[in-house]
Amino acid sequence: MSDATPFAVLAVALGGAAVVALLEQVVAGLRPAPAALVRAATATLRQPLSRPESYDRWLFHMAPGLLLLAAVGALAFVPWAPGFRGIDLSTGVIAFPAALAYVTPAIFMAGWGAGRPLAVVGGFRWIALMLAYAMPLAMVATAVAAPAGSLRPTDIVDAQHAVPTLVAQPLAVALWVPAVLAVCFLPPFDLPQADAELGGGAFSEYRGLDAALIGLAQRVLVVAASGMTAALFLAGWHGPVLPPVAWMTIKTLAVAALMLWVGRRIPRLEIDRVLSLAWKAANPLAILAIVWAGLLTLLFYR
Amino acid sequence: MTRSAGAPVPALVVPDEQTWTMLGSDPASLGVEPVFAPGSVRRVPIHDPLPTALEEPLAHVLDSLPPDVEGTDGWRREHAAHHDHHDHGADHGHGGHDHHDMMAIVGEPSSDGLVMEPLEVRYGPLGTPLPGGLVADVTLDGDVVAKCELTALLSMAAGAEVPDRLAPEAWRVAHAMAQEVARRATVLPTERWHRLARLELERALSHAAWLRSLARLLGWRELVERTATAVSELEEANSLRPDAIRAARDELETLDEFVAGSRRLRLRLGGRARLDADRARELGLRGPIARASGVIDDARSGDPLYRTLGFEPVIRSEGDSLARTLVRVSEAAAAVALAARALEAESGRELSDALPLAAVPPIVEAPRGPVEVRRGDAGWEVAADGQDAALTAAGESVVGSEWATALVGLASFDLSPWRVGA
Repeated sequence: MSDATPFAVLAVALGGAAVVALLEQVVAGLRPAPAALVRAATATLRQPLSRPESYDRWLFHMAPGLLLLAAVGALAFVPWAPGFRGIDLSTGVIAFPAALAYVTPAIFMAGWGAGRPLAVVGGFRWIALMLAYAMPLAMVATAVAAPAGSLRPTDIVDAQHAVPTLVAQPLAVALWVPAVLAVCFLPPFDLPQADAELGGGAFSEYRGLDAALIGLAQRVLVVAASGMTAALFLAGWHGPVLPPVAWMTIKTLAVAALMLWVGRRIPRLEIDRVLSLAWKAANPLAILAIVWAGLLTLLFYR
Repeated sequence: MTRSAGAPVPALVVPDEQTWTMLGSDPASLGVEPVFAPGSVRRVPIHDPLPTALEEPLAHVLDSLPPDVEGTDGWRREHAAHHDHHDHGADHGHGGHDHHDMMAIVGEPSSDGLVMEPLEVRYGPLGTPLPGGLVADVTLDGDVVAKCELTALLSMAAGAEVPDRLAPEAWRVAHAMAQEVARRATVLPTERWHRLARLELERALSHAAWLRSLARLLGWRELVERTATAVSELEEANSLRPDAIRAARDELETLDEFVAGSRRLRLRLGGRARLDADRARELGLRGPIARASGVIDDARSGDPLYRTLGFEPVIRSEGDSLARTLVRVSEAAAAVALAARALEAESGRELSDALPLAAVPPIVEAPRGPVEVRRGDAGWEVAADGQDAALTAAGESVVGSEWATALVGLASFDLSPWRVGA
């Protein structure tokens, strides 16, 4: 890791968040309007910070910062090109869900700190959701790492030069995508905020800089989740003709667009059904995915 | 609540998206401005005059808004002098009582045996997925509804000679019919067919706008977009142009097919907030709620004009949120078809003589149930059978449900926020 890596990660975070915001417009069938985004961001930043009645000042105002920190932390483990690998840890593919784990206390702090019944419900929903989906996320990451014989994301990318993981381990993909949608609290897993049900839920009381940080953090999470999905399942930067960073960018944007598109097509899932799916289906299937990865490794990768 | 001349009059934002769609008018002429997204109240516009029906909901909602919401300074200054500030907590319409001691959890154990501190939440009357003017006082046991009481806040001024500006079009029709009966007036067939067409188009628009609100509550953007298209076609159809009505009919039929065949909707709504036929009859429910529970009850069945058009009520027996949704969407599609046939009948002069008044019952089947306007001691009164009972039924049906499921269940009733019980 070079001295420039933190700055590069920050640049990817900010630039990527802006691109995701434009992608949201495109997926909604609108023409991309950067000026409108700038105006909306400026209007949000101009609002004064909120001070709800009966709120916990420290928890309430720390939560957006912690959320952004977790998002940027997760983004740091995504490898973008052979020459730009982020924090290229030997256990990077496990460190990624570990970094995402900090999203959990951040959102709960937001809900609890607001001191409103529906905000607290949003916070508790998030804890239930993450307890359910953190395990499949980590187990699938392990399954994906097995053929590469390494937990380093760049090794996993290189191991896909012949066959992408998407083709070799379809069950892992089917479990990974809902899990990252849940981690990014995108529809149909937007349960902690649930605009109509909870009136914004855990984020309902935020305004001004706090609200802007939350919006930024969610988009950075989308970039991180999409980037890691492209790296682990779509062979990362491998591809003909174009330079590696171009392929990685295209694949990341495609995954992000898919995540946003799915959110428009499926109604918000009920918390009971989401938890039931996670505990009764996703977790057992994740174990099967590990078994399948082990067989693949024995038969084809050794 | 009175205002001195020249003093700023706070105008309530239009209660909900469905009502706003039904109004379809220039906001300035009504003194209201639409705000639909929950929790997004940032500014309350100052207009004059204020619709009478909204004064009580206004008092509820302005008290609960954050202090920095624009446009409310005049109200707050005026109101602070003679109104105690209760610590509801500025929660954009979602109130909550402070917890005196977070660690002392006392009370009766809930159904799972755990003693949970109940949360009291006041939901409404503005900025929620429920119809504007409706308040739900909910006791949450964790995130499960332990108790739910619904209150309608909108009311007509007593003895008003005309229905309130925000009242449904069906009330105006009922009012006109009641006046015709009182004057023993004869109404030409052309006018009757016209009136029938307008009533049916209002029904379709009401149901489509309701479905859009429900889709927003479900967080289903695809359905929001589809219903938005249907709503805009229906707004065009209000011009009574044949091509516009045909386009609206096609759009509603497509929407009906989509909704009826939607597995996603079935998963989300099936089996929720169930109300069986016996309970529906016991409570005296009417309108689409009763028809979705298997009660064959539709005021249009007794109207010879509708019989001429081959009208058949839409009935389902499941009594759950899905059944209520399917009944309304089917009724919306059927309503546009009826409107089209009514206009064809009008142009074809199928009824050569004016219908005798006695042949047409003075009861109108409004989108939420039958409505009758009667002359009482204080003036004209609107009576809507079953609408108070619907509030009771809805509150009962969601007890024991998780919060989101309960909200969807409540929304599926399309409750009326008007105090117009029989």
